[in-house]
Amino acid sequence: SNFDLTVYLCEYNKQVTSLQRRARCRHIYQRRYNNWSEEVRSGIHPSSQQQQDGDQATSDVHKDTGVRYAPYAIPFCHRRGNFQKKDETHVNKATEQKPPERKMERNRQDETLGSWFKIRIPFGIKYDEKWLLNLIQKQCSVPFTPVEFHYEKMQAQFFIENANIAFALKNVNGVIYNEANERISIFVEPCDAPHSVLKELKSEKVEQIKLPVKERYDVSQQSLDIQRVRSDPGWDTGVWVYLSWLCFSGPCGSSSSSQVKSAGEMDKGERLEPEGMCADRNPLCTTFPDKSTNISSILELFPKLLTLKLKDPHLRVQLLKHTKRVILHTLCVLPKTQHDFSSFVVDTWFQTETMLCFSVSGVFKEVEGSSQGCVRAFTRTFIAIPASSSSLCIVNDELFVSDSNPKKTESVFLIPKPTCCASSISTLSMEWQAMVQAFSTWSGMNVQDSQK
Amino acid sequence: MAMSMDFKTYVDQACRAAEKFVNIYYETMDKRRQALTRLYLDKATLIWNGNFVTGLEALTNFFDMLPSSEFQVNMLDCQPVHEQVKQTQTTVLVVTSGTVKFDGNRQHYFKQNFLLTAQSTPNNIVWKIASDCFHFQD
Repeated sequence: SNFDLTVYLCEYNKQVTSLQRRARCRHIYQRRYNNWSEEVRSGIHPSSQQQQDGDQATSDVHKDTGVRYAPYAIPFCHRRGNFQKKDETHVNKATEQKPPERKMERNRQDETLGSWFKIRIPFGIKYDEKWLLNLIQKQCSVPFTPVEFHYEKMQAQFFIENANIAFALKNVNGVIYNEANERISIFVEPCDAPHSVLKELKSEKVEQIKLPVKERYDVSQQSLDIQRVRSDPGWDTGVWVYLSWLCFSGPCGSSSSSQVKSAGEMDKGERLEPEGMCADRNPLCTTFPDKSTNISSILELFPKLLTLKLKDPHLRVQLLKHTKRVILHTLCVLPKTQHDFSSFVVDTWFQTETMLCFSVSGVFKEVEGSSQGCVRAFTRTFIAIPASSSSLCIVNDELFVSDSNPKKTESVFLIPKPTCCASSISTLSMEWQAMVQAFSTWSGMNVQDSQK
Repeated sequence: MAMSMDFKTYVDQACRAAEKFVNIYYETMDKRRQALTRLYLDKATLIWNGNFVTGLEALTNFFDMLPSSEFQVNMLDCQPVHEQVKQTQTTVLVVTSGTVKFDGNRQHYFKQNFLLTAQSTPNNIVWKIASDCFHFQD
């Protein structure tokens, strides 16, 4: 009787507490043999567990399941988006013989399909490959060898095959800057081995199994004696994966349509909405009749909002100042400050012919009062309109002050003349740029002068 | 010193709506990422740590690329934009800050601001993001 070689792509949605990383979805390959569940379990990547009846796996990648490690099992794959697809393939079979226990010898002990990581640099397409990799290496505590560096859409990507190195690279996130002093982000995530590596290993494996397969292939019958193949002492259970590939490309076996895909080839279009989501609800149409219903309804719908402090409208009235006179008075009663211009980061994030929106972040020191010497972090957001051909007029002003990051307080309060460190100026005209520069200078003056 | 009643009411209404919107925004960002671009105007712009993204297609690609997130908003502030600037549409400036953890990466402090515009439909007022500026703060 035949056995089924079944390849499962399983959807896995892990519910975690807020303290744990939230995994939106994971996909794992499983192989299920009707009568060989024990052997199969041993052939699966150690991060997964399989249930006898082929139900959806509920593996925890961080747990040690104590399962024997199979180096060539299709690895754990982390993906965004959910989908579920089941492929079935049939191979002429023999009996229920167990595969050999012994692992196949390999040349590269540490390099396995199971420990690959994809490194992504958003907007990395802006940067030259050599320059970027050098920059990263300077900050990375361990040397790394990028595999398959390439640009994809707006990102730069490469692969790393060692968890320790991947971890070290993760720490480089946000501490490297480009020539315009913009921060460069690095994202690290586990993944399948890159295609070039898979291909390479495949051809290695192909060579290794060609001989025993050849020996057991009956040309006259056009059939491959699977049992005899598997009883070869050179086999590892993981090699079954590759055998199934071969069987479908060659004349052996009576295969039906071969739809076995590696995780890297999954069609992104195969997506289902995550469970529990109401895809058809337009949240913007929800209305609330009064304040009490408002808050409890919101909290029901979005439990996480418990952490969001909804502003008391009375407080808002107190803190929101209206009219120039009131605003200036408010600014005057704030403690005297000294701003560190070298710490300024300016974002010009929206503009039209009639309005300019920009934000300035940085640090300042209080130079009088009970908190004299305290260094604070601030972000000031402005909306301004042209007042004349060379000046701006502020129409909206938002100031947010927080305690400074201790690292930032080490910055020296140097330059009296401010420099405008623009993070991004999209299509800002020359006029606007001049005005922003001028405004930057102006903002360095103390509040008294501004009233003139 | 005090705001006129009309202005106060105006501010109140605009800001309540903006706050609701922002709550929805972060929930969508964390839990329904694929629906996030619905909250943006077609020609909306995003500046993400200094990088400029504009238009729905680019935004879709960007949010698709970004790892899954867990936002914790600790501060939210809003004020309506001066009527001289946006005469036809109510526009609100919203500023938020807090922490965020992207999957596979360490936690960051962030600061974000939005320009939200109110668009009237026959049944409703729909708020959309005209501009979004996001920065890590550490």
